[in-house]
Amino acid sequence: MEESVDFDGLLHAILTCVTAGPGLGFNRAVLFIADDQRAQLTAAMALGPLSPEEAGETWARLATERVSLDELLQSKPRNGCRSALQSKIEGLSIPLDESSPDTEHDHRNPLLRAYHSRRVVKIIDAATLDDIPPSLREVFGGTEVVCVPLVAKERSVGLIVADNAFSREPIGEDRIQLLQLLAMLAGLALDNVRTYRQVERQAQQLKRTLEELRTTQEQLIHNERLATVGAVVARVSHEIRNPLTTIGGFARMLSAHPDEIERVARNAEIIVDEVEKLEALLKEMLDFTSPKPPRLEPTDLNRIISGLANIHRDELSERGVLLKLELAADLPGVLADRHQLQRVFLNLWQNALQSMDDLGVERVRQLSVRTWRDGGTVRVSFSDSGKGIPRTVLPHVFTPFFTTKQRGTGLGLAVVKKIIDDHQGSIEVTIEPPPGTSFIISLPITR
Amino acid sequence: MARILIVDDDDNQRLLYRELLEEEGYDVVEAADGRAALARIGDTAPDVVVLDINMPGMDGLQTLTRIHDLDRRLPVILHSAYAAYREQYVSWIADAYVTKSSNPDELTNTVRAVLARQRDAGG
Repeated sequence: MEESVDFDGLLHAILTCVTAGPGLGFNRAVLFIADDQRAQLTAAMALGPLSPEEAGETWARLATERVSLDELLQSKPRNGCRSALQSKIEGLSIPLDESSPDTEHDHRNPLLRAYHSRRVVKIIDAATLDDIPPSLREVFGGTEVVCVPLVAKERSVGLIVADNAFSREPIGEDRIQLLQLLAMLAGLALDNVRTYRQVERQAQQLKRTLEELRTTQEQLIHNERLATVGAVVARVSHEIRNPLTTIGGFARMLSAHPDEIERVARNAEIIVDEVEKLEALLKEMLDFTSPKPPRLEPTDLNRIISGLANIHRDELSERGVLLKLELAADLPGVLADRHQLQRVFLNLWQNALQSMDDLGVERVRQLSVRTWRDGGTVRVSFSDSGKGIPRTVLPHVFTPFFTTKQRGTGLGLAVVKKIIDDHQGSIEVTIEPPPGTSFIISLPITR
Repeated sequence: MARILIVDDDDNQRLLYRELLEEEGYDVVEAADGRAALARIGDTAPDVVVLDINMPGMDGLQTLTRIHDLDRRLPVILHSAYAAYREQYVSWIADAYVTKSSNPDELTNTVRAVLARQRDAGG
């Protein structure tokens, strides 16, 4: 596990204080840490020799080197070569049974007794006790042993077990008091590290949560895109299915009644008709997905609008629509692609007429087209007295594939916007005159 | 002879379904939108209505509600190019739902089934 706090360094420092000659001078010490999650005391580190030979060797070396406690504390634990004692106690654990406070003092295991009572327990002869793990009994067997709990905030966080197995020096009351003092400080230090580790774990957890959140967000965005694609596919399939159904139906009829000449001719005409619808749909989709750049030339907007009005004059009277043209006589020309602008105006024109289709007979149907100069731009407005666009829909009218109509791909106004953008112009939509709709286009004047 | 009202704003499709259903031996009347459909129901008393959903003005679903107001027992078959509507509408507001297809069998079979059910219910 990655730890930024040197936990092993702290344990080593504690045990060095317990065992070093210039410190408390115990022959050996083992430090246990309480593992709350696993409800056990785990042997974390041990310092000191395992055999009398090793003891003699170590003490001889230290005697010649005359190392101070400070120097001993500075020396890092030698990870590469674990001591025999360290190897012996590694992996050792003692279960912390959930004893009630009343029975704490009755623990037969002296380590648990010290841990639960938060008091020092001195064992005169460890070999006489059955309830400590065998490997520990092998280490501490036959001598005086002292067990000191590490206490922080009124709870035990660990345990130090120490002895003088080789020097055979009795463990005096003064040593025990000093050991208790050290254990108190060590308990606080360990608790701080534990808190720090918890904070660190929480920080890690937070980091993971953030990463998950980010992944979820990306997934959401992806799903939303899929939903949009789904809506587009549904609409386009509808637009394709209608003509296909008609074509297929009449083609079946052709093969069922090939000898009825008149009917054959009529069905063929209908099929051609519907195929043209499909081609127009295809063209609209392709124009949108791979638009051509405008071929700019000086263009008179008034002329395009007059032309449009002339072509559709009959249609206007059929639909009972009054056309009001207000075209500025001195309108400057613009650099524009005439065919693309024709398409823009035709689209706005048809939208205006459609919006007035369902009005009651008594309602006025009026389409006003105006052109005027406004500073460095030329403006064109299409205003209708139709049923209008709901305010909530207004921001979406230029969004591709967005439509409230029963027919069409929802690309009309998106194409209009694209063409105007390509001309460095702008287009806006307003509810004017209420409840009708106005589209106002601005295009830069030719320089 | 059973009478069928076809409601569709697409002229070619109305013609197609008229001819298909006439070949099956039905008497066919037509309406191009919801308003006309309600008027036709009043003056021709059809036995079943084949109703398109996507129509300008009063759409098929609005029309369906109005038909129910007029005569709750008149069977209505929704007929649309939108396959996605099927789940939503088939069971609880219409008597049947047929996705438009170049193969007329599903429509003619459904018309036959709805009429049979109507006859059984009527005794």
